[in-house]
Amino acid sequence: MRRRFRNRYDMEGFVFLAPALTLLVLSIAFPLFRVIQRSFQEYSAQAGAFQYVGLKQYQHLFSDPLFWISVRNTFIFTLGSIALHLGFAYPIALLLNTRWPNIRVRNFFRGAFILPFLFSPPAAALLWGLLFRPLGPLNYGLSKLGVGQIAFLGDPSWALFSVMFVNAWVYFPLYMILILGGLQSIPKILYDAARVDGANWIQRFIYVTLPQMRTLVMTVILIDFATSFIHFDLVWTMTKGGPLRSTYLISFFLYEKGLRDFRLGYGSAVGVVIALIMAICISAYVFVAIRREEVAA
Amino acid sequence: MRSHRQRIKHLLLYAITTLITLAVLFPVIFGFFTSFKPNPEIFTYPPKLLPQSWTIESYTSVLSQQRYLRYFLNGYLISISSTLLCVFLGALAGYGLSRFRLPAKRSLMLAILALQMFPGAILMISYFNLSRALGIYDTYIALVLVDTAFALSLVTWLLKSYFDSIPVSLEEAALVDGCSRFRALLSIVAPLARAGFIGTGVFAFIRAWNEFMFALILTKGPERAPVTVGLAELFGQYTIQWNGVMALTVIATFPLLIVFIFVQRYIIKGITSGAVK
Repeated sequence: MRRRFRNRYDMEGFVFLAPALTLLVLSIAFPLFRVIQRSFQEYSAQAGAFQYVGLKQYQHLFSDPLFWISVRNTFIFTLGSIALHLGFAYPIALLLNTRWPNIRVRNFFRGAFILPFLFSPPAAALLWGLLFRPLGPLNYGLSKLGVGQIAFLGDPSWALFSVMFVNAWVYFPLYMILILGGLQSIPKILYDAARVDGANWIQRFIYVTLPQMRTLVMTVILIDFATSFIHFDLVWTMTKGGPLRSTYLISFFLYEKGLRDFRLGYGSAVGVVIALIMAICISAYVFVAIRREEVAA
Repeated sequence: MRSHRQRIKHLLLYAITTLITLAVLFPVIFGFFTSFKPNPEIFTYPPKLLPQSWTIESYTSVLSQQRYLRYFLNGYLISISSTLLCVFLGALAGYGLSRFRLPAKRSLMLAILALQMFPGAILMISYFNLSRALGIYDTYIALVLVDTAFALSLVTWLLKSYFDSIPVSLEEAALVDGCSRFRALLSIVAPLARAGFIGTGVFAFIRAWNEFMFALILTKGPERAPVTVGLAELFGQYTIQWNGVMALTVIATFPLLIVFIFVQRYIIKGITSGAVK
């Protein structure tokens, strides 16, 4: 028995995997376990230690109005970011995927479009901070158009959209590359067949490109959701959640409760709830996506 | 006649793409020129794109401040260490996954891929506590480990598919001759996978260089914090010295630009092959 097992598997492989797996377990699995454990505890000053308090932190969390504000903002931010990323990335990828007379020129443009992605979130925040100034170039342009001044980051009704837009600007190149890769892997023969059938470019787009790109676009949405839902860097640099909590994301709630106010149990409960919300959304999305796929097939 | 229409079409394509590129890159262009403006020109209204008198004084003033040099040194040390560690561990693990028949390999691969979507930020409280308990709070070690951990799963995945594309027969010959597995990886597979190492290495470097949240949480002040923390402090200060700030932004992004220009095609190949598979 033992011998057969050895023949079928080559356990030496785990020697190669061990260092990476050790790091991942120590730096992700163990801290995750601690967060879950802490979320059921509270620091007691009398005992001078953490004590189990059951679901108290969670009950407290669900009755905290600030938590619900952050959930609402996070959903708006996430869905808006996904829409803007696709809205930027898809058309530009299509443009780069058309027949270019000179491939080097195309590669130059592709490189230029990737440039925003190289800026770190704080660096991008600063670039846009300069443009958003009350007497900066954007407001100057608006005044030329006869529109009044906009306080892009200072006005609660504009701030969330502004930070969403900057987030779209920094990260769209990543999605553009993914979509471009997908477009390039569509078999050319499909387009030739459509052409023979007399399909014009709009029809070719609707009947060849869109269906062929479906799985990839679904994946892009999934990746974007998982990234944007827990977004911290860019918006924290620009607004810290203000003005009037209009850009207050769930990751800020986590940071402020857990590390600024140092309520470790409460903050941990926030972390667990974030993970649960994401897991539910992602499972629901994958479930619906797979069912759709079956119906289509 | 036909070539005439063709030329108009191409001209239109160039014109449209150029316009979109300029619009997308406007923040970069405006920021770049601002870094060359002298102090009195920063707040002129209406705002001008080009400086009226060019100067590099904002660069010299930024680079003469000990504080900022320290941020850059920290950034380089953290990013380079974490890149090397990440590619080393990822190469070992990728080789293990590519060349051995392992139990539950499929689940393992899926777990590694799913880790890409794991919301690392929810661990911030744990990281803060653990780093204090281990005595690595406000050290490079904490940031190197965290940066490595979060880039490692994708790097492993990409290197595994890279190794898959290298024929096994070369190693088999060496193994028959009594070469060890590790030796085979080092002297036969690694040289052939150089492009894969460059692509994933650049990916890990960009990630580490641009990482901000964990740097904010795991350091306290300019002694150990990388550039992103230094840049973020500047935002929202009461009076922002915009030319200096833009000079700093340009300097902070410049290394990535250079790296990117040289290895653009590896990165693009790396990202796309990893996603489509």
